[in-house]
Amino acid sequence: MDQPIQLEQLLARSAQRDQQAFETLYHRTAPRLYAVCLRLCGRRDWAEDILQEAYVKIWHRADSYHAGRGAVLTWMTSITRYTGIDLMRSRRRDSQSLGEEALDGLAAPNHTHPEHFALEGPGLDNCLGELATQQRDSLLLCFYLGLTHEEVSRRLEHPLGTVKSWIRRGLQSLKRCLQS
Amino acid sequence: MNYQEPELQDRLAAEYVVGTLHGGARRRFERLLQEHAGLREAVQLWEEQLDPLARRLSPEPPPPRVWRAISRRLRPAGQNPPLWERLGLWRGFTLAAIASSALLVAVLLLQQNRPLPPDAAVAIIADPAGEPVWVLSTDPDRGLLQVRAEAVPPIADGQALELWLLPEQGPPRSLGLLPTAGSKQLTLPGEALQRLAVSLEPAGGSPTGQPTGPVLYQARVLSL
Repeated sequence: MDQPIQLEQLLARSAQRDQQAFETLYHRTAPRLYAVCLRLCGRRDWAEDILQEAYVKIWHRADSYHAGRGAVLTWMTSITRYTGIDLMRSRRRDSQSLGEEALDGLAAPNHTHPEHFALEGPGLDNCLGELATQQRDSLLLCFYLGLTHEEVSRRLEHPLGTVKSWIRRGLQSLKRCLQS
Repeated sequence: MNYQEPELQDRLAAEYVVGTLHGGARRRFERLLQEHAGLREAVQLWEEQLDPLARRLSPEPPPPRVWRAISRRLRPAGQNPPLWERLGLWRGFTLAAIASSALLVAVLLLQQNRPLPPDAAVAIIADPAGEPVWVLSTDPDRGLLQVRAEAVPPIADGQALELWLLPEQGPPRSLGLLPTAGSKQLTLPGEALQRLAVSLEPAGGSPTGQPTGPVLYQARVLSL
């Protein structure tokens, strides 16, 4: 279970170059962020690379975190996801089918199918549940797998314009619901 | 575009967080984030709104080697991080077209506002199409040659990629095996780095101390 105040202290000490504190921060948070990496790219080798890059960035940017920036784990998750998105795009840019290697034997279980993203509980889930299936699925494919509009269009076999509008309308509806 | 406009801020922020903003647009948005507090707030709001999606994934402990790799890259206060941690080379922009341009490399380094260690050098080992395969940088203070795999084509089990220094005179000298992913530290040789080559060897490297397999890549080292 996360102990938010302690994570802030560990991060603050990391900002002062306390490597012991950073190692504690790592062991406390890495399992959650590793799960995010695995879901993002579907390959253990890339997931390890993303995790490594993310934590090195977190170490170097520890002094830029402050309480107004939101929860520590959210801040760290964002860095991890953006690192993962950049890494995957960089590694896939010359490959023939974007995202297809996630479907090879290396794929984590339940990795690629939107219907396997279990949704339970209040708040975000209720709002996601209110979205049209295709809007929700497209959004989840983007968030979890870091897919671009084009990749989602190929995956769901729908025109690019349609997919873009699902995602745009899905985000608008999500926002309205979350803020109501 | 008027980046003060709230609806536009919100839409771009959502696309950035979700991940559909990509390529040049993503890079430009990241630069804009530094200048516009409104954009930063919009991004933070979307990160918080979507965070439960990340939270519900089952935690999975990573292998111990990941922490070992991270801890090797941490620096005590006062020392400079290796060049690519500030160059942001994961950001997808290709150095291929200008891999031989010392000027661009110097510009990239100066953008990081970090003093360069004396005698620092970089090399980009690129494929025939000019795409970076490895990026190397010297850390003369610690006697290290830092190697980062960018996009290494796969090799068979039982094979390895070995890095050679080609001195002005005399035979090639091995600098060690190159990583196929992630980064690795090699020992910086005493002599000046000028020309490098990569050969395909059996696992564990050349048994003879000289290249036995085909030379797959060559590179020149740029001093700054």
